[in-house]
Formats: sequence, C-alpha cells, structure tokens
Amino acid sequence: MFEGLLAGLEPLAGADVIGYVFLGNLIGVLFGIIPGLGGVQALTVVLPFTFFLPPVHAMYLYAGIMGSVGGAGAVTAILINTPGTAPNVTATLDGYPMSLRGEAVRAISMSTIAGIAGVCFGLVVFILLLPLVRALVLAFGPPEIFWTVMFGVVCLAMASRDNVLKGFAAAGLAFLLAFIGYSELFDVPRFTMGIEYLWEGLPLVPFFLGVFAVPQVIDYLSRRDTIARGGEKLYLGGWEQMVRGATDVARHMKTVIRSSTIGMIVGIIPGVGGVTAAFAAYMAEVRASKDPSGFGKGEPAGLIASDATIHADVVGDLLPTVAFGVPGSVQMAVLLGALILHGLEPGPLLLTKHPEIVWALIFGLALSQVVSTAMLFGSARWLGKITVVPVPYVGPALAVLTSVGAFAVRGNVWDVMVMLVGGMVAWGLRRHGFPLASFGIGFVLGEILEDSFHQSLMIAYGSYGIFFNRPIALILFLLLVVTMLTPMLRGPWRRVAAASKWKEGE
Amino acid sequence: MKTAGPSRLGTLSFHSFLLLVVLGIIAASLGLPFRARQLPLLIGVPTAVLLCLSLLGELKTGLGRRFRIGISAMFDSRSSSGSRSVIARLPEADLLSFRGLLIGGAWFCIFFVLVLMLGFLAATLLFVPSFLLLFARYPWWQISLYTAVSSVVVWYGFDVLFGLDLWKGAAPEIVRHLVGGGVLPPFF
Repeated sequence: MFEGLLAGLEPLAGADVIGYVFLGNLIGVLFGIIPGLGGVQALTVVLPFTFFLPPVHAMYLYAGIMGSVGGAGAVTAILINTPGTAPNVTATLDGYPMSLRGEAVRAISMSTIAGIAGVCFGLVVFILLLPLVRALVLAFGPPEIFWTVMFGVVCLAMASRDNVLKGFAAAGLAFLLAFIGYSELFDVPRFTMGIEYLWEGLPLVPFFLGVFAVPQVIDYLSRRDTIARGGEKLYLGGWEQMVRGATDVARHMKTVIRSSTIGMIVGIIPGVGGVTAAFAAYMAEVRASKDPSGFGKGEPAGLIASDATIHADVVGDLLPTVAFGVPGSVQMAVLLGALILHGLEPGPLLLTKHPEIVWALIFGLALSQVVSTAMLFGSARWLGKITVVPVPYVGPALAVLTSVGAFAVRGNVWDVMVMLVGGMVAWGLRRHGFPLASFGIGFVLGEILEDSFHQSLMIAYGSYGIFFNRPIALILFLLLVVTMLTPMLRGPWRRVAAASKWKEGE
Repeated sequence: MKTAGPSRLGTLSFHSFLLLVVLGIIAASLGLPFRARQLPLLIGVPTAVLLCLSLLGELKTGLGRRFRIGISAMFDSRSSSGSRSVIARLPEADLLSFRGLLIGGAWFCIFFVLVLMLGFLAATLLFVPSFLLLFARYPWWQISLYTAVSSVVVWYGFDVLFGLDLWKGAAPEIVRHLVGGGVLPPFF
C-alpha cells in the first residue's frame, strides 16, 4: 500500500499541482458559500474539464474542492445564519449567536481549526485502516463485489428519509438506465430504441450534471431575488479572537475526537450523508455536556462538534469509495464517475493497481485544509457579501458552464439535451419524494453490478451457489439481510418491550 | 418560488411515466438473449412492483405511512433520551415549484435551442443579454458588461485555453441546404 505513497506525493513538488489544489479550493469556497450549491455540484461542473488532466493532478483538484466546501459553508452559516451547504446547518445553531455577540472571528477560527482536526483525525484512522482494508479487498472476487454493490444500494435506499420503497425504486430505475447501450459482454445493443446516439449508453457526465446541477440552475433562472438574505451587517470582531478560537478547539479535544469518530462511522456507511452526521454529533455533544443549556446560544462545543464531524465525514466517505468502489455519499459517486472517466477501475483493484490515486486524495485533502483555512480567514467579510449577489447574475453563468461541461467530454451537442432531460426528470423525482442519491449512485454502480454478476456466473459455470458458498460473500449477504430486516423488526420489538414493561408494572 | 407537495394528478402522471419507462425496458428485454436480459428483468420487475406500491402509498395516505421506515431510524434519539428526534430535525431542502420549473426550464430550453442552432459562442451572446433584459430587467451597461465577460470566458477560456473546439451550430448547414448555396469560404 505504501509503495504508492511517493508516487502520490511526487506531483506536489510541481507548482502546477499546488495550483490545482488552490484552484480546487477557490471553486470549493465559491460553491460552498452559495446556498443550494455544494460539493456535489462543484465536482460535477468541474468533472468534464478534468478529463484532459493526468489522473493524479485531477485528484488534487477534486481534493481541493472536497476539502474546502464544508469550511466555506460554515463561514456563511456563522456570519449571516445561512448554511452554504446542507450539513452546515448545525453551524448556524451556535456559530451565528457568536457572530451576534461580536465573536465572528473566534467562531470562524474554531470552525476552520476544528475542520482541520476532523480531517487529520479522519486521515490518521484512514491510513491505519488501509492495510487492513487492502488485505480484505485482496480476498474480493466478483461475487463479493456484487454483494458489496448490493449492500451499498440497500444502505442508500434504507437511508431515504421519507420512503424506503422510493429509495429502492429510484436505485432500480437508475440500474435499468445504466443498462442502455451496446453491451460488449453479450455483443448486443439493449434498449436503444433504434437511436444511434444511445449505442454508447447514457453519458455519465451529462447525466450527473442533469441530476445534480440542472435543477439548481433552473431554480436560479426562475428567480429575481438575491442568493440569500442578510449579509448587510457583519459583526466580525478583532483578529486576536483567532488565537482564542484555536485555544477553544485545543480545550475541547474530547469533543473533536467524539465528533470525528461519529463523522467517520457515518461517512463509511454508504448513503448516510453529512447532515445526519452533523446532527448526530451535535446531539451527542448536547447529551455529553454537563450544562446543555448553552447549546443553541453560542456554545463553542456545538460549533466544534459540527465542523469536526463534517470534515471527518468526507474522509469516512472516501474509504468505501476507494476500497470497494461503493460511494459513501453522492459527492463520492461523482468522484467515482471521475475515476471511471480517467480510465481507472474503481473497487478493490484501485488500491492494488493505483495506490498513488488514493494517496493523492489523502495528501490533497490535508493540503486543502491548510489552503482553505488561510483563504477563509483572509476573505471572511467579503465571502458573506457574495451571498447577497442577485440570482439573475448566477443563473445564466451556470447554464452556460453546465452546457459547455456536458458537451466537453465527448464533443456531442446532444449530450446537452440529455443533461436537460435528466434535470427535468431529477426535478420530478425530487418533487415526488424519490431520493436523488439512490438514483445517481445506482447509475454509476449499474455496470459494476452487471459485470460482477456475470463474471461470478462465468467462474462458477452458471451456478448461483457462488454468491453464497464463499465466506466473505456469505457474510456480506447476511449483513445485507440484517440491514434490511433491522428497521422492520424495530417496531414489533418496541411493542414487545413496552408490553413486558407494562406487565411488570402491573 | 417554492411550493407545497405535488397534486394527485401530478403524482399519478409522474408515477405512470416512470412505470412506462420500466415496463418498456422489461418488454424490450424479452427479445434479448437469456444472459443479456437476466439482470434487467431481475431488477425491472421488482422496480415496477415498487413503483406500483409507491403510487398506491401516495394515493392512500395510511398505506404510505407504513413504508416510512428506514436505517435513518437508527440515528433517532427519541426513544433513548426523550429528546426530539434527530431525523425530524433534519432540514428539508427547498424545492422549486412547477411554475418555477416552467420559467427556468423554458429559459434553459431556449439556451439549448440557441446552442444547437448557432453554437455556444453566439448562443451565449444572445441568451445572456436577453435573459438579463427581459427577465431580470437590469440596466443596459450591466447587461453589456456581463455579456462581454461571459462571451470572452466561453471563447477564450473554453475554446482557446482548453482547446475544446466548441460546437459552432447547425444553422449554417441548414441554411445551406435550404437555399441551395455552398459553405462560405473562410473569412480570415
């Protein structure tokens, strides 16, 4: 595993790679502070333009984006009570009251340094787990990959907040769409309806742009107001508060470790995103506190917990993505798409064949934290003002950018139409409660699922027993069954427990 | 332009559309060789069933509530501490209304048609000022400045710097066929 370390680190000696991290940070900060946009949109929009870069350089750019989005979102949450990205919502609970007290610099300092601590904690755990995970993935064959993909999809669907059935249906639909096109495996075109364009299948980048970016662009093209309210009066406070913020984090190391651990665990579970991690860590902090009355009124521990967990969650998301090819979040699904675009095979082979890619992401994330901290400190007051920019200025720019992005990879103008149609369908799916995460991730995993399914059958000469008679495959299958059954058994189990309690009371 | 939930007709229409796509794929896969149709059928049939159940759940509220379980419940703290559920506190993202979709979608479609006909650069030169003038009603100097900047970014940033060889539009070819003329010789 560590043989790829130097290959991953080497590009950092070049000024161009450092430049890519800076550029990634700049893009991440810009997308992070604009409500409605976030890491997923930033990665999706940038994805087509990285096609021309060497893979390791592109990874540094992606790491720059991933490492800065959360921190930028926290700055607007603190300054103007507007979370830049969804997980930053917990930063408003204690960050904004601190701003109102004139302690904005202290809050930003705490937020960014807690973020660095969260990422560092996550990366240390990640590096420690890598040899273990590598040993595990070496034992992975097609049946194990098949069950891992299935497990990832089941987790995603079960994580749907509203309706599990819709989670599964969205994933199923995405799988079916992924099957469109000429199948090299069977030497036959499938579901192309005689349309030549569909022979190559639905293109990944336009599909992603459609699902994750177009609904937001359409939203911006229909509004005349500003991006967010507020920002006119910003209370920053003195620069001496920077040191105070740093010491606050040092005094709350238990909070950092607790929240980062929650962030890592939640991140590793596919589909359970940063918002859940942030709330789970915040609630854990409230419960662990001796005096919870200060939470929601500018309690430093609340803000530290929120930011440490969001940043650790990103690292946690990365682990199943690079090790098993199952994205831990939608952001990682886009990253997985980027790996495919660069001709890299996601999954167990990535760790063994291209460890330099994994190390580039690790070093990129670490460097990104340092760069984004400096950037956020230097531009905090200015960043708050960006959110009061009128929306009509943002909409056309994003429409042009996404359209060029959809066109860029294959040079086919019909890809722009696919993006547009994908955006409309995505809007419909969201409006009717179908989770877009299941839909997007299902589309990336469709081909991997089918390849692993048929490779397994080929190995076993057509016997389905291969999916159950190998130990790891069997464990993964059982894990999948338990994951599916646990929530269903929770209700009856609670009723039985309540009945026995009532009997005891009698 | 945010809105409440979808109407029953909207739910029925959208579910029917999805169901039609899935049934179409199932029907098409029946004509494929066994191995090629295996997974599409294994996934397609349960997906169709799930969509039917989902539609029933939407139309009958009581039934829909039964489906609202999930792994998210594992993070729910209500039972252990008596505090408010963590999941219940998760923020709901604002969703664009149908009217907003029509307005924004129409502008985006106009841009796509312009791109298709005239190419990226000309489309940007026409779309950006039209949008800012007709929809946002901004002063002409702001519109001119914004249009100039965005057009330069498209031309220099993407065409020259990235070397993308952007789409030049279908209109010249269509006009050539309509009037029977030839392709204009290069100007420069």
